[in-house]
Amino acid sequence: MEYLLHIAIIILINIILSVSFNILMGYAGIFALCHAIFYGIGAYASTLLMIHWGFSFIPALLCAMVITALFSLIIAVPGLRIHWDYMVIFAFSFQMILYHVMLNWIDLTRGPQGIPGIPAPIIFGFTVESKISILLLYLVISSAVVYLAKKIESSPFGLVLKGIKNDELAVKSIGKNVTRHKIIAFAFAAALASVSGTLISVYVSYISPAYFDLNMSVFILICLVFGGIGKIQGVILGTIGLTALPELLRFIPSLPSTMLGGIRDLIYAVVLLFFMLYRPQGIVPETK
Amino acid sequence: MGTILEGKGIYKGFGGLQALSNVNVKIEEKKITGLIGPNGAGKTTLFNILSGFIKPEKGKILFKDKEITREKPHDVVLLGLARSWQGLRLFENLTVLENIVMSLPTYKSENVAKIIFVPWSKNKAKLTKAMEILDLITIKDRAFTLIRDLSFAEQKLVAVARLLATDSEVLLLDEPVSGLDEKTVEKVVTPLLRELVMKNGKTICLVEHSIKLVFNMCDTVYCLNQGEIVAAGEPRQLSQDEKLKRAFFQIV
Amino acid sequence: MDLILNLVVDGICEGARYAILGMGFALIFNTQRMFDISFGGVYIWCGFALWILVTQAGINLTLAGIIVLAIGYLLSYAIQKIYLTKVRSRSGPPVGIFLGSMALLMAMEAITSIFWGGTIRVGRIGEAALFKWGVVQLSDIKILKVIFAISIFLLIQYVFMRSPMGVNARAIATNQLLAKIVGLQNEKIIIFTTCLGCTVVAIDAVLVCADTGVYPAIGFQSVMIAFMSVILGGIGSFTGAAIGGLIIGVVRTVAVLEFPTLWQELILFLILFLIIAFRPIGIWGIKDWKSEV
Repeated sequence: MEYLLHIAIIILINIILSVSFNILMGYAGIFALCHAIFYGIGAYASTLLMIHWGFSFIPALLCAMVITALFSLIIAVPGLRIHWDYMVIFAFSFQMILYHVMLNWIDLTRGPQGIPGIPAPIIFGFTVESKISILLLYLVISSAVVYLAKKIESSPFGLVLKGIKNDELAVKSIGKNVTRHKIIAFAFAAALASVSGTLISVYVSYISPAYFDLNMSVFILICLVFGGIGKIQGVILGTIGLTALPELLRFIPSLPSTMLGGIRDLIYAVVLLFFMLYRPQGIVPETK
Repeated sequence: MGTILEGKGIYKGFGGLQALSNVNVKIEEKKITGLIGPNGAGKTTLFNILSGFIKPEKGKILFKDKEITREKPHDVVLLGLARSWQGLRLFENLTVLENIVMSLPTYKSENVAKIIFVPWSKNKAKLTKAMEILDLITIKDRAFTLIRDLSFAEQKLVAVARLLATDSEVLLLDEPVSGLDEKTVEKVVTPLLRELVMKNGKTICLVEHSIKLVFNMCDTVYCLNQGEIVAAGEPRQLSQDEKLKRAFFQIV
Repeated sequence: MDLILNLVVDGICEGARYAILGMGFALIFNTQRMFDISFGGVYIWCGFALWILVTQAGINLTLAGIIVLAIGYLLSYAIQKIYLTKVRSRSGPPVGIFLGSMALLMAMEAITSIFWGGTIRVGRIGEAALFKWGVVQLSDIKILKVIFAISIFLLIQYVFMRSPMGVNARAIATNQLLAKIVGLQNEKIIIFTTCLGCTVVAIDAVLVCADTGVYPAIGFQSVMIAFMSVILGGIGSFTGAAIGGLIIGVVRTVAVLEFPTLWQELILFLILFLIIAFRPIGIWGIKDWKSEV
């Protein structure tokens, strides 16, 4: 039972990540393969605020969002000028740089050893520690994030983002500032991803750079591809599927545990391969 | 009645090709100006420069007597000058209604929170306005169809509607009717453009291949050939210039 | 002084290796104009193939090397035909090729890791032969790296590029649409240059496997190095890719003097980031790479 709760919690955390990435990639078509970094900055920011400056959960969560949004400027601003095809490697180099910074800036992040002892969230006096209470809290938070994302999608702002994905020049010709929209989209995506960072920190009570590496960014991407880039329901389903799937592997008795990592990666790779070729629109059937 | 938009001494080259040389155009307020010329004459390049998408090597663009040469394209639209595209450039994955609604200017009642978090479908004022425009263009019944699923003719109409939606004073239309059937052009587009000028006080400049249409509709016509203005004036005058007609109709 | 000299020479050998990777990727990228990173997967399998042939099947190193190159060519041919051609023909955004090839790379890495785990496999039996020139000490493989790099450069630049196939490839690299209009069979030529590029990359796989060994993650690393070489040297320029690789190799090796190893990786990515941000066409890159409006 504990195990199922654990999976559910991880699923909720991942849903926030993929829904926020969807704002960038699904709506605006910005292929920023560095989402795990925003996840990581959120995690480290809130952790350090809580441990070194004694912030409590909610203020740490909110401040981490602001910090991460500001960080997103580093990639958003130069990213405006570069050609769309380069965005992939640009974001990817951003990912690798910050990953190495997390790994090597020992004074700040304790490097590969990670930061243990992150306190459980205390909200209105309640210490949220048991898996059930964490699950409920995270359910509330992730629902809020999904709700926000849906509102963004159907707003005039969201329409312009979708326009940007289609044809940037046309967007300019109807009087919309593409630059401003991209920067704001980045800020939102980053801030929401940072929420996941805070959530994983207090849940596991420990963070290390390994959680936020390129594999994680790729995983988030595959969740989108699997579920259908752009459609929130699809993205959520895709995330649930891809998070839960490898866990099922544990139940195959004959499988040696050393192979698990490789098999999981293989599954993800095959999912991506299959969908790129046969069903780029994802699992959820076309509606509308 | 003065000049609302002016291009002075425009030069623009691409690589080895001089697309525009010493181009001077004056677009009169509340009138329809035409721009004709063979393919490759530089008409679209001129539009691009007037609307801020390309910067000229030499020359100035003046809008309401203010220089806008260096302005960004979206700022130019906000100032009151918008253009449509030869290649339409509609948002293919969105519906007709969405294409129109997103082109409407930001209303005063919309603050930042509303723009980002409130569904556009809840903005009754914008919805009504969008539907009005679609009605004018006679494609109201296709409002909820994706652009991808429209016929070419319908898409051309949406392109015009989207330009109208920007509510700009000066409209530059790049081949708005080429490819449309005569009936639609005569019954829908031509009267609409005339009405926009007469009733709504808009200024229109259009590029078209049909000389007949241009001479029919426009108060002033500019003829562009190989990057230079070879003739300018009222259609009546131009059509009486034998030398010009011979030279021109051979090319066009 | 001895140390510096050795480091520089070492750096040149590393640079030669990076240059090979850069040239291989340049061949692939210049005609495709898309980021097809499947060569990373080919790299892993070629490296492991060499290891198996040499250590498990007892085949002579040189012969095994040649066999591996053939494997590399065939493997990339299969990849292109079976998978990537289909993805390309869907005329989706170029990101599709990147994702598809990345998926292939991941799959090939995962399969390797499932069967052989993550330990380093060296494809050589016995010790490397060492040569000494004054104070500089070099292993035979290192010398081979430089020899191969130079040979590949000369062969491709002066033989291939001038051959009928090479001219066609250059035409496609300059303007795909025009090439089609003129009647070139783009797809065939693209497949050929891609396979050629993968074979070049496989050469490095052979050299590295025989020298320091291979492991599943090396495919991804080689992609990284290839990217950096091409972007530094200039997108679209074959020579640039080679020079870019050489520079990065030397800088990285010599930087050991000043910077702790941990920060080395970071500096390379920082360079990549800054180049893309401020001068995406690199040092020798071709302008008008993509046009607007």
